[in-house]
Formats: sequence, C-alpha cells, structure tokens
Amino acid sequence: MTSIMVGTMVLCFALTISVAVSIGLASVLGIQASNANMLISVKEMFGAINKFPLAAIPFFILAGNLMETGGISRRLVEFAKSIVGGVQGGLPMTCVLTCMIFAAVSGSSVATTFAIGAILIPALIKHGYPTSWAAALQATSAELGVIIPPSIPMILYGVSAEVSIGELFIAGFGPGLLIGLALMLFVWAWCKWKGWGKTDGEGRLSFGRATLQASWALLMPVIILGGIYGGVFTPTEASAVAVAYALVVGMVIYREIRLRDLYAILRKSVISSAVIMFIIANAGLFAFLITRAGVPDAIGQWLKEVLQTPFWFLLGVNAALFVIGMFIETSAAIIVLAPILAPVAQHFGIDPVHFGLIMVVNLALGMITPPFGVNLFAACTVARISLDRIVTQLIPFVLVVLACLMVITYVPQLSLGLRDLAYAR
Amino acid sequence: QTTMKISISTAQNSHQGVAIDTFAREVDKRTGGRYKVQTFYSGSLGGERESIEAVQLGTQELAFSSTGPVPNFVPETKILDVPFLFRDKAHARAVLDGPIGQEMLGKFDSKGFKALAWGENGFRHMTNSKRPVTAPEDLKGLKMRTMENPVHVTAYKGLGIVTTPMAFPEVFTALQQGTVDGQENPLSVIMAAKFDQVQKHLSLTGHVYSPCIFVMNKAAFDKLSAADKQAFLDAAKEAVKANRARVDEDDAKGAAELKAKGMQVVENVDKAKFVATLAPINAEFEKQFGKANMDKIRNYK
Amino acid sequence: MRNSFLRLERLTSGFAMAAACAMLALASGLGVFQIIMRFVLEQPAEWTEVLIRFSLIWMVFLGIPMAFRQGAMVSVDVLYRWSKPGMRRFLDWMVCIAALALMAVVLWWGWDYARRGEVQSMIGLEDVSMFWAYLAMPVGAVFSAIGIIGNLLDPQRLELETAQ
Ligand code: NA
Ligand code: NA
Repeated sequence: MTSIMVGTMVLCFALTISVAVSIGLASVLGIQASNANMLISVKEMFGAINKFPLAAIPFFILAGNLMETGGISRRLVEFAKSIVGGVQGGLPMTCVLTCMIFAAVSGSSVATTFAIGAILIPALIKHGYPTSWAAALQATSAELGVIIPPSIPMILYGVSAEVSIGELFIAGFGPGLLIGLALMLFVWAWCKWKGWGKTDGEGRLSFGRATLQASWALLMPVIILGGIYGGVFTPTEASAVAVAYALVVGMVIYREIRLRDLYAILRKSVISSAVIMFIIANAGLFAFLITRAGVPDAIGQWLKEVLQTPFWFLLGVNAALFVIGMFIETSAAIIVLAPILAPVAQHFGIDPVHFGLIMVVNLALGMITPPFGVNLFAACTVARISLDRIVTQLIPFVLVVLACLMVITYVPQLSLGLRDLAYAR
Repeated sequence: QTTMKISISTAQNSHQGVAIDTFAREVDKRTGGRYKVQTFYSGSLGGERESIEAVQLGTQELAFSSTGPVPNFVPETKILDVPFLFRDKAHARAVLDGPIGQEMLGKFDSKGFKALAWGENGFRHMTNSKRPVTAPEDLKGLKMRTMENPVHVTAYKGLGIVTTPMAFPEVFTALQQGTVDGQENPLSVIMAAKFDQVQKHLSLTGHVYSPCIFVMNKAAFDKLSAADKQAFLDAAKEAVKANRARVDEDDAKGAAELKAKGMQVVENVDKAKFVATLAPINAEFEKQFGKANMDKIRNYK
Repeated sequence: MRNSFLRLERLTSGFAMAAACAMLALASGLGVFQIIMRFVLEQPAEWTEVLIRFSLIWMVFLGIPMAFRQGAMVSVDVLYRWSKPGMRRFLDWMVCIAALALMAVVLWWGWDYARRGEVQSMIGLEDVSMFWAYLAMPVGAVFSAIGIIGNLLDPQRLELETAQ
C-alpha cells in the first residue's frame, strides 16, 4: 500500500498535478488498495485542519497582506536601512535585517517574502544588483520568518510531536540570530568581492527619523511578543492580534488602506491560505494512512538500529531532511515526520525542543531548494524571473545556511540556552 | 486471523496503555489467536473525539478513551459529569459495574457502538499558580482552563471559576505565561503533561469522576460468534482491572511525586463546602437529568 | 456552450470566494473577540474557538474553487515549463482529471460523512450537529469541480503569485 501511495504521488508530481491533489489521490488509492473504508479520506482531511493552532496560518497570511498594503512593511525597510544600510552592500544587509524584524511578527516565510520582497527586490535592482541574485537573497532571508518566533512550522511541530510551542519559540531566537548575522556577514563580504552596492548608503533616513517614522510598525513585534509572554494571548491568538493591529495602523494611522482595498486583501489571503491548508489536509490524510500501516514505527526502528550514536543520527536525519525538503512542502514534511522522528531523537537523548529547531531550520532550507521551494516561487514572482535563473545564485546562500544548520545541530546550547534560562531549568 | 485496531490518546506507559495492552493480550488468548488487536498510542490515529467517531463510522474497530467527548455521541452519559456525584472510586466503580452502568452501556447500541466496559481515567483535581485551594472561596476569579463540557462549565461557574476553554496543545504555554491561572485534570494527565513545571498549587479536589470506556463498532461486534463476543467482553473486563489498578497506583504515588517536584499539595479539601456551594447548580442538574436518576447513583450501595 | 459554462463558473467561483472571504473576516474577528472576552472582560466564551476552527475550514473548502480556477494550486511544474504546447495541453487534461477525481471522492464521501455527523453534537456548541461543519467538504467539492473545468476551458496559471 505504501509503495502504491508513494509511487502515485511521485507520478502525479511529475505530471505537474498540484501537490495537494497528488497527495490526496495517492491516499485515495492507498485506501482502495488496502480495502479500507473510503470514509477515512474525508474524515482525516477534515481532522487534519480541525486544529485550533492552525488558525495561525490564515491569520498570519492576512496580517502580512495588510502590512504590505498598509505601509508597515515599507517603514520597517526604512528603519533597517538606517541601521545597516550605510556600508557597501548595505541594501542587501537591510533586506536580511528587515526580514529578521518582520519574522518577529509573521509566522510564515512566504508572507515575509511577499511583504519585504515587494519593496526590496525592486530597490536592489535599481541599485544595480543582478535580479536573480536579489531574488535569491530575498528567498533565503525570508526563511528567517519561520525560524525567529512566531513560526507556523514550529506550531505544527509542537502539535505533532507534543512539545511546548512556547519553548520552541524561545529556542528559535538563537538560531534565528545566527543565521541572520551569518547572512549579513556573507552579503557584505560578497558585495566587497564583487564590487557591488557602492552607492547603497545614499538617500537613507537618519536613524532617528526612520525610527520615528516606523514607530507604529516597530511597536508591532513588541505587542505580539509582549502579549504572548505577558500572558495576554496564546501564540495562536497572536496571529489574530497581528491582523487587528495591521488593520488599525494601516487604516486609521497611516491611512494607506482604504475600505475598498479590503476585499482584494481578503481575497488574496483566502487563496493563499486555502491552498496551503488544503495541502495540509491532504498531507494529514497521507500521514494517517502511513501511520496506520505502521510505517513510522518501522522507519523509527530502522533509524535506531542503523544510526547507532546521536552524532550519526543527527547527521543522517539532516541529510534525509535536506533531500526530503527539496521535494516536499515544509508543513507537510513536519506533519508526517515529526511524530516519527521526535521519539527516536528522544531515545538518543536529544531534547525534543532542540530537535524541533533542527527540523524547522532544515526544512526551512527546503523552501529555497529546487525543484519545489515555496520561497523560490514567491521570490521569482516578485522579481519576475523564471525559476532556473535563480538556482545558480542560490548555491552560496544555501551553503551559508547549511553551515549554520550544522552549528545549530551540534551546539544544542544555541537553541536551548535561552529556553533553559527562561524556564529556569 | 482477523486484525482489529484499537487506539488511545495517551502514551503506552499510562493507565490507558495498560488497558489496551492487556485487552490485546486477552483477546489473543481467549480466541486462540484468531483475533489480533493492533494497538496505537499517543493519539497517533487521532484525538479522543476522532477515535470514538472512527469506531462509530467503522473505519476503526475499537477505541479506549476517557468519556470526555462521549456525551456528544450519547447524551445519556452526560449525567456522569456532574461534580461530586460519586463519593470515591469504590462508589464510582460499583455504580458503573452495577445495573446503572450496564444499562447506560446499552444506550450506545442505537448509536452504532457496542460499549464493552467502563474503565477509569481517575478523579479530576485542580492546579493553579495563584493560591492554595481548600474551599470554594479560594476559586473566586481564578481563570481555569476547562473542557468545553456544558456540565463542567455550568458547575465550575457556580464555584466562581472563570472557565476558559483552550486547545490542549496551548495549555502548557498558557499556564506558564499566566494566560490562564489553572487547569483541572486527573493526576496521571497532570504528570504526563508536566504541568508541575508551570503550576505551583495542587488541590486534591476530586471534583469530577472521569470514567474511560471501551467502545467497539457495533457491526464488527455483531459479526463475532457468540463465544467470541463473550471473549471480547471478558477481555475488556480484564483490561479494566489492569487499568484501575494502574490508576490506584498513580493516585497513590502521584501526589507525593508532584510534591517532590515542588508543587504545594492541599490534601484536605473541604468537600462538604464545595457540595454546599453547588446546591443551587445541583438543583438545575436534578431538573435536567431527573432527581430520581441522580439519587439512584448517589445512594447506590 | 463553453462561454455559457464559463459565465456560470464566474458566478459560482465568485460566490464561493465571497463566502470564503466572509469566513476569514469572521474568524479573525472572533479571534480578537476571544482575547477580549478572556483578558479584558474575564468572561471567556466556550463557543469562539469551535466557531473559528469551523469557519476557517469552510474558508478552505470555499477558497479552493478559485485556487483551482486560477491554477493557483502549488505544483512542481518543471515538466510543464519544458514542454511544447501539445504536451502542455495533455498535462492540462491530466491536472483536470486528477483534481476532478479527488473532488468526486470528497463530494461523495464528504456528503456521507456529513449525514453521519448529524447524530453528533459539536463540542462547545452543543445545540449544533457536526453536519454543518462536515458539509463544507461536499459543498466545496461541487464549487471546486466547476472551477476545475473552468480552468481547463480557459487556462490560467497564477500559482506563483499566491504560493505561501
Ligand atoms: Na516568525
Ligand atoms: Na525545496
């Protein structure tokens, strides 16, 4: 049954059938092949999205669209530019820093790509950066959207592996900072080497002006994180607060969203959310069927027997996730794999929160690895170039993140230090 | 050989895990290996509501679950959620194993289930981060995460609790950050969810008895031969014995273990005062469920 | 024939989309309301969470018809980009048939599931049966089928612009 399912799925992928339909059809055939009750198909599709923490997905997408239209994103860019924009290569560094700030509000990388890329990719092109490089930079930086909390993949991991979402969030700061700083250092060096971006510092606002102008935008991460850690709302509810805040600031304070813009914003958000949630529904059905067939247990046993030590287990898992991440959407991969891998990791004495960070960072990398990477799709759209042109420019970026991933994997304190401090362990 | 699936939402090493492991072994033994029961733990096949529904639909043959979501399928079981209905575990077990409980098991038949036996999840107790709770006054204004169960909600509101529904995966963080002050669950759940890390006070209120139940798909049960039906029923009985023994064990060492982990445990809760405070609410329940029915349970010897 | 179908399709997909937008707006509003009720008024409501979940599920199934219609479903389209027009048309047909097959399953079994859900009340909204939540699937499947055929008759590929 499992081979029929995997075979059908791969064939459907190749025929350009959408990811959701491919996974769904493969599951339907799997049910048929095992003579099980077809009611399972709809029951598990429904069950997979009938989880309150998943409400964060449509809410964050809506909030991102409101922030883009409402001028919050643009002001954040000006703010970041006033800090790191002054040196050679300051504009790409601004891109990374803006993504880091935006990541503290948004739980979705693609929302980050759209919101920031819509402003920074045209700016980068105007300053003479190659379009494909700008798109690759934007796609990679936006990955931070799911590594710096809040984060939808972390919520999914927390739900699937039954790990505290709050702990995962706190553990995301260290790795997020590491990747952000590494990327900034890399683009700075790269620009020096290539001689790019000598005029990046021109026309930027002073730090004071930019901060003043962006004060409402900068208050947003404070409110979101403050609200979560101050006990006002839960991490899931924070996404609804983000919607309300972006709406009020965009409509009342900045007055950049008019009433008649709202339907277009809602429409765009609905399509994006429905697409991703429908993938999750079908991936949930798929995961249910392979769990029911005992596959996860078998894989878990196999990993335990083959990879004898924590060191090799982590290396093996990272390699496996990197390959899986090339082909499978992050959320789907987490839903299927977290319940399988987390118990094995625990068996090796790896903290489930640390392991969650490894999975999230690795699979976030999957968002920028071809052939299937949602950030790539988004960045290509904004930059209006085709996928194959971005790929060669991506390689150095992927290598930087891979290096960070190795540090995150083998230095657990980077993830767990802050958590242990906060949770007084 | 026929393979059937059974699932629980808790881990294998738990009072529910013991139940289905024993059940699987007993079925195997009593049917000479003709029936194999495949066990799934930790909600890997879905949460409690999903599992019970799966049994009703026949997409899964068996499930063992707390009765939390059961009233949404079999409303007659709602009465069991009434606070302080049972004096102690012995009373609750006697009622459920006696004619009242057996009659209630019969109510499942018309909904597509064969209810094999009552098991046990344990008495629910309260934890919070604000203050020790010995009497109902201490509960005034405490924000407590509760199940979205109308009987619970009505009663807890009557005690002055600010009842707060919340998805279980969010409860740990919410308790930690003070989004809610407390929660209520059996000791086994409190320990499994590691609530001791984020809650200071535990009160052994035992305010609600939480049963478990073995449910089987009606059609799957009816297909069994008379002897096999008996084998399944007997296996469930054996499983319940193991399940209750484990609950007793958890209860015996649970409070001590939680105390050792730093929780302040209030063992002497003024239950009479709780019952007195709930009198007006109880009058409502008596109207809803029938005073005779409630008295029959209360006075069962 | 083709044009009258597309006119009908515009109507149905537009209607489903409007309803989905209403569901997203409702869910967002309820999310904020839930926090206010708990944190400010200290009177949490039992029914907000369940309503948020189910309105978002309705949003998903009423939102995918337009996603199918616009070819906005995320896919691996390397083969498509490398193909000549004839092959592309063949792929369009495969995409259409596959999606219709899945929607047929969701329609047939979703309706069966919804009917069986009539005997089960919602947790948190005890007076409402699960029928109304499960109904999202067969209803969404009908709208989706129309959108899928619409996309075959008048292909659009907007996937890149909406991927998340
Ligand atoms: Na984030
Ligand atoms: Na990828």
